[in-house]
Amino acid sequence: MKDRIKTHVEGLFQDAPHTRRVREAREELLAGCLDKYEDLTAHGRSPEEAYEDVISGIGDVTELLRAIGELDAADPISWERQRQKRALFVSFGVFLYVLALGATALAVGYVSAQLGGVIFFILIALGTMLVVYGMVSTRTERYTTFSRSGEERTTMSQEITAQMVSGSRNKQLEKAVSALLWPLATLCFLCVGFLFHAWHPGWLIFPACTVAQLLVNLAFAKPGHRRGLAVGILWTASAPVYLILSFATGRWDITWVLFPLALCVQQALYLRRVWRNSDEK
Amino acid sequence: MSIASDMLRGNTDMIILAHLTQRESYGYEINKLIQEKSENRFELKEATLYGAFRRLEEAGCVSFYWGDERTGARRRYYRITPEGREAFARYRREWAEAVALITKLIVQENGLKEER
Repeated sequence: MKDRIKTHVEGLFQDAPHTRRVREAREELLAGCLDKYEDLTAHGRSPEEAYEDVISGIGDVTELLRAIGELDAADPISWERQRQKRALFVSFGVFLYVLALGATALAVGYVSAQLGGVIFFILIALGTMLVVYGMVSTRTERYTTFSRSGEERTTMSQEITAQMVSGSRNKQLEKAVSALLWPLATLCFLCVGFLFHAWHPGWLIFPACTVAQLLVNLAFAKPGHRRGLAVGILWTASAPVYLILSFATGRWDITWVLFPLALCVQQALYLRRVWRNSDEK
Repeated sequence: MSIASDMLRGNTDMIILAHLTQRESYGYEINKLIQEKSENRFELKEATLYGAFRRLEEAGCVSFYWGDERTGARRRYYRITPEGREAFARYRREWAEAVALITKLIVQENGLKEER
C-alpha cells in the first residue's frame, strides 16, 4: 500500500520540471503521506481506507509548485524568453573574449605591447561582466514570477510573508552587485598598472574591494543577522584596512594598533548587546 | 463555519509559525496538531501546508533540516528563525487589532437592529 502511495505521489509530479526544489518537495510530501498512513492504520483504519484518506488529503499540487516558483518558471514561454536572454548575454560576452584576442594581437603588432595589454583586459573584463550579468539576471526571473503570483495574497498573514520575500529579492541584487565588484576592481587594477606602472600601490584595490564586498553584505543583511555579521566583518576587514593604511602612510610602527582597536570595538559591541538585553528584561 | 475555514486558509503561514514558536516540527505533526486543536474540524491539505513552508522559507521565517527516518522519504524538520518570531509577533498584534475592530463594528450593527 505504501508503494501505491509512492506511485501516486510520483504521478502528481510527473509534469513538473526536474529541479532540486521539486524533488525535495516531492520527498517531503511523500514523507507526510507515509506519516499519515502509518498514523491512520495504527489507529485502526483499514489499509484501503487509510490510502483513500491520504490521497484525498493531498489537495492541489499546483499550489505547492506555485509556492516553489517552479510552475511559472516551467511555463514554456517565460522559460524560453529567459533562455534567449541568457544566451544573448553569454554569446556577446564570448564575442568580446574573441575580439580581445584579435584586437590585442593587432595592438601589440602595430602600436605597443602596453596598449595591447590594456585593450585585452578591458575587453575581457567587459565580456566577464556580460556573462555574469546574463547569469545573475536570468536567475532572478524565478523570483519575479514568484512575486507575480503574490497578487493573490490578500490576507494579513500572507502580506507579512510577502514583505519578507521582497527581502530575498534584495539578496539577488546583492549577488549582482557582488558579481560586478570584482571584475571592476580587476579592470581598475590592470588599467592603473599598465597606464601608470603603478602595480605596487595599485594592488591595494583588492584589499579595498574585500572591504567593499563586506560592506555590501552588511548593507543587504537582514536586521537579525546584521549583529553577528558586524563582528565577522570587523575582523575580516581589519587585515585589508591594515595593509592599505600601512602602505599608504608607510607607518608600519603605528598601524598595528588597528588590531587591538578592533578588539576594543568588538568588546564594546558585545557590552552594548548585553546592556540592551538587560534593558529589555 | 465557512468564514472560519476561509480565514484558516488565509492564515496558514502564521498558524504554522505559531506551532513552531513552541518547538521544531515537521509537516504531518503540525497538521495533526491543527486537527487536534480544532477538534477534528480542520485539516490542511498537504499541498497547502508544504506550499506555506516554502513561502516561509523564502521569507527567511523558518529554516529546515532533513531527518533520517527512512530512505527515499525523509522528513523535513522546520525551526523558526529570529525573523520568523518577529513576523509572528507583528502578526499577532495586527490580528488582535483586527479582531477588536471587527467585533466592535459587528456588535454595534446588532445593537442598532435590536433597538428597532
